[in-house]
Amino acid sequence: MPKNEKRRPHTDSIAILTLYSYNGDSESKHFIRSYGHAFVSIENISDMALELMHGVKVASHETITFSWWATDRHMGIWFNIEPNYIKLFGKYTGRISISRYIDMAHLDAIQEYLARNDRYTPISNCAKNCSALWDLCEDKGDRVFTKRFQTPKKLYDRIRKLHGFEFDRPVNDQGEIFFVSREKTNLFEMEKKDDKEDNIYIISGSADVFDL
Amino acid sequence: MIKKIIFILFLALPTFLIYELFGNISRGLSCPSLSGDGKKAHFIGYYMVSAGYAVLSVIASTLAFIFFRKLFRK
Repeated sequence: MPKNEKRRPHTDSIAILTLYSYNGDSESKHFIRSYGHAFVSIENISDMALELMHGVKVASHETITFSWWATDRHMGIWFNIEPNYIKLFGKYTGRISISRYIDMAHLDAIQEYLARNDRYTPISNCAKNCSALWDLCEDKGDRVFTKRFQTPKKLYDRIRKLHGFEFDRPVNDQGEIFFVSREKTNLFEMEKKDDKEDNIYIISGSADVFDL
Repeated sequence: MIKKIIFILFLALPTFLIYELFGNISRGLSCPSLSGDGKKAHFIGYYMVSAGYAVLSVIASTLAFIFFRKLFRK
């Protein structure tokens, strides 16, 4: 497929896959480096809901964001942390991204990858998994994964070499934060520190765990 | 004089690593947490990085101590 073609919708396009990488520069200070972060969003442009994982569906014309996170509750895939982090804390300024249209065959490959790789380790980190996931949908010349230890910084530099990259592409601020474990969806809220009051308060949503 | 310079260099690396170690712990502590199901989820990435710096700090400090002793025994 010619490079520009995959950036245009086709009759069989069902979603827009966007790969983001942030190199950590704007959040590094006093010699203490921020190592950055990589994440992925899928915007459903079809008229039907798309299933990503067991029970994780993206409604028509909505977007879901996800990545691999190290938390003490779940070392693996978390959904919608990044839009909340950006909205509440202004994080990831200077992030780079690249997008492409995907079809049902790509989505099947993504589903299979997510089902098999819901685990975070320093080696199998956000950048490695997001790169591998992107490469499932990409032609050989535009693949981003390196066999060496993958980091958000390396991914950032790789995306800069690709045709059609963007800076600070807006990320949707909708959707609750959750992860899936043992076929259950666990909903979470992000706490925000109020600078003026120095209080911790809950921003939105409700805490719940339910069966899918 | 040369011994002093080498001594400072030997101290500089572990000092920098310990600085990074505490910097990352500080960042970890300032991270927002997530709440759900009556419990909290904490981002532990910075603590994982801190653990790496802690290991490096111990190695660098040990090496600095060994080289320092050798240097000043002569």
